[in-house]
Amino acid sequence: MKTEEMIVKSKAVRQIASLLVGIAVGVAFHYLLFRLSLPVQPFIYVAF
Amino acid sequence: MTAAEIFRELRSTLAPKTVLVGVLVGFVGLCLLGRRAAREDLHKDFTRFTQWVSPETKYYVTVNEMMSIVRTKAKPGQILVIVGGNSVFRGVGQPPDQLWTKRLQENLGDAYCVVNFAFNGSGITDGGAVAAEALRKEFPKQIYMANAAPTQWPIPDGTITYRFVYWDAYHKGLLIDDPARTATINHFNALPPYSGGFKELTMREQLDRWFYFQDYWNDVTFAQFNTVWGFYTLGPTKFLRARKTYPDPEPDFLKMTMATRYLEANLEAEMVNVRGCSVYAYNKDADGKWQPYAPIWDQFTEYIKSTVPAELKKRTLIVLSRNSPYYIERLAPDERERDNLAYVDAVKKWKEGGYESIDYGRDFLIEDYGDRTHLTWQGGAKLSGIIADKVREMSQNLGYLPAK
Amino acid sequence: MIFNTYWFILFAAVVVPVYWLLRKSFLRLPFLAVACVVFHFHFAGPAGMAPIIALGVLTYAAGLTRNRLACAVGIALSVLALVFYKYIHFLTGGVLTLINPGWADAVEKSAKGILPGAPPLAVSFFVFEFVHYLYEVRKGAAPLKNPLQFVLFSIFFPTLVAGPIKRFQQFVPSLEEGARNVGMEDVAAGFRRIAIGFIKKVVIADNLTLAIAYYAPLTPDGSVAQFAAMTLTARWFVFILIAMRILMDFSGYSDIAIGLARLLGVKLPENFNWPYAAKSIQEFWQRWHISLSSWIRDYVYIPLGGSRHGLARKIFNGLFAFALCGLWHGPAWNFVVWGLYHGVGLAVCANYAAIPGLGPRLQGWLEKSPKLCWVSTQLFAWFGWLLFFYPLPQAIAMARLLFNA
Repeated sequence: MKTEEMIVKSKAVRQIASLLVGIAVGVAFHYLLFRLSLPVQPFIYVAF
Repeated sequence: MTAAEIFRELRSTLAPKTVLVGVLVGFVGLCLLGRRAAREDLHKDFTRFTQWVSPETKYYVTVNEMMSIVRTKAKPGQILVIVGGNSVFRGVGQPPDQLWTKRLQENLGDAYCVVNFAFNGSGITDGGAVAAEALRKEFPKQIYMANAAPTQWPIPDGTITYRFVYWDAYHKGLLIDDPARTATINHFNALPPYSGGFKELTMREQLDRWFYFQDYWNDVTFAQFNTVWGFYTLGPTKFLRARKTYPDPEPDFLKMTMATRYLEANLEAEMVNVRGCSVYAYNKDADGKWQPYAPIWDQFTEYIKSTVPAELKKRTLIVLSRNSPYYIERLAPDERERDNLAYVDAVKKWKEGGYESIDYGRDFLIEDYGDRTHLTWQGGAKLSGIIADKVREMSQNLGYLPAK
Repeated sequence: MIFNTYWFILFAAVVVPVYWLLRKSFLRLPFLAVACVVFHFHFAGPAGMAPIIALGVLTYAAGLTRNRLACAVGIALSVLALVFYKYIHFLTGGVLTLINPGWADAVEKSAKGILPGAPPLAVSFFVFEFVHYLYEVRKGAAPLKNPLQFVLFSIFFPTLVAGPIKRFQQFVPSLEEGARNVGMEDVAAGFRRIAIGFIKKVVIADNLTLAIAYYAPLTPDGSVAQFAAMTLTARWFVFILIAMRILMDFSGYSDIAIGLARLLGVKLPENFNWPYAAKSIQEFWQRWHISLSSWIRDYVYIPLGGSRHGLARKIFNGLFAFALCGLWHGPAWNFVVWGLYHGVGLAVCANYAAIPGLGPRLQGWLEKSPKLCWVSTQLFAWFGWLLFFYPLPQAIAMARLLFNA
């Protein structure tokens, strides 16, 4: 198995990547709450 | 493996439980950082809110930001003087180092701390009024002032643009529970245009009470990077710049020619505005004398009853801003008389309502004004003298100063 | 606005956890149906709900009969409702007036009293789903007998407003599976997808919208003078912004819808698959608004005969299907032109190899130059967005300005 594959398949890497992805999602949700407090544009396709 | 393959592989093997823990960590982490940001003063060396820190450019100042500014600026024992109102009090056309509230601070001396929380187009009960009320226990020796036009009645939770500050403070439990005010607010917010967007606003402020997203992301926007593109930003790639890096862009009226300040092309429109200060409030009687038009004044009297809670009225100074003599002199003599009456009567009504009130500008020169309403820094210096005298008088009456 | 409102955030924050807590599908599905009604009521109001209720009852009943005529009548009524609510002014003002202004006037007058101010919320989407349902039942598929399943198919809140356009044979089993067994993996995937969708929308698309408004390629007076005054580089920059904005806005919306459904354990069909990576027009339409293009293929193009009756008929069917696809977006000629533009592009792309002599040589050359295929496909699709967003003369003027310093 190549080094990259070993890294990708390692449990620790998988857990760290999962945690980072989760944190990014949590940050995005927090930002979303803020962003909605500023004027937002309607979705284009809602008008169709 | 290519980078894309590594990415795909990792994505397909993400551990759901850890992702969910991460979501919680990310979200709760920012809520906690938001709570911390709410207690910190972002606006070091604060002079006034520039247009980069205003809803004009999609920056919605929180009540916590304003409270933090005051906590940094005011020393214990000082009398807090919060200036609200519109662009006239914000000092449009006055460079920051010549701003009239700087002169006011110098006039009043160290016993006072003057903070300018006026915004362009805001009313009596907007931003600064809310911050003052929220700080009433921390700074019990306080005076709040705002400028207004005659018969301009305020809605207690503010103008549509700025009422977010009231609801921000309300949901954070910072305001006095006043049934009379609540009744007036409910009355207005059930009607268009005030009802428009009101439910969304209250939901947002309710959520912010729990999650502190406005304080956190305002901190980011002001100190680190901006996230929303706008006409005000400096081009497609520079919009990410933190708001603190933008200078206070206020021009100096005195460096402009009179022809630019008093544009001939705007004369008619401005005359309509000047007449608008009094035209609806008076009718002529059989003898040709101006008589107050009762429905307007009765409504005005009724609304000012609940503008602020009773306990705050005495420390509230309503300053009625007269228009530049450049326009007043162009009114017909009877119109001029009507205009003057409107200011005199409005001051009287505010006083009868339990507030303090004065007007200014009757003896000002055309040169004191930058345009119809805004003052040059010279006019601002004159205003600061008038206001300082009034503030000292109020401080005496309110018992903030030792008895003479 | 819908998804980007605090009301919706609070709605989802209550509905989704309650759905998880109920644990049994016989509790989850009725609860979800009630939530969908609340959602629809909030955004459409009682008057806005009436058309979908009426058409839904009719579609459900027609489906139950499994009668070919009843299904055909149901399809016709759904299409008529769409035409009435969305296209009546366009048909009278843009088409009937040319034939007989008196008739146009009479139709306008009689429609005026009964037409609401705006078409019912999501009418284009739910009518297409009803037509699909009745078409499939008419062809022999088993109808939905459980009214709850039908209600959820009709007003499932994640997809109600702007798709993806669902297929009931795929949706209902997924709905049942989700109600039985929504898992941690669904929730994590759903959150990820929603976050991606919102980032596309509020971080990218909304900023692009504001930037485009700032550059104002078309000013409110209908002039492209401001666009003409820009440097050539700036014009291309705005052109790219326009293309990126619609992708981010609509694919962001679809991501949110798909993610929301996933939180409930429901797997929806994909709507986008990197359309700006397509190397041919056919591939573009297999990657862009997939649920609409596949609907048009299955319920317009193929029933018309598809490619089964010779080249001329195939081209006509394609043009007709794409004109309809364009018109689906709104009652305006620029949408029709946009659809035809893609129809022509697709016809050329699918048939150029058959041109004697030149065709095979061109095909061989293009096969060796995938980058050229990609550039030409994307330029074609992106020029199409000018037709999509702007009136025809201005769109053409803007396109010319992109090549004229």
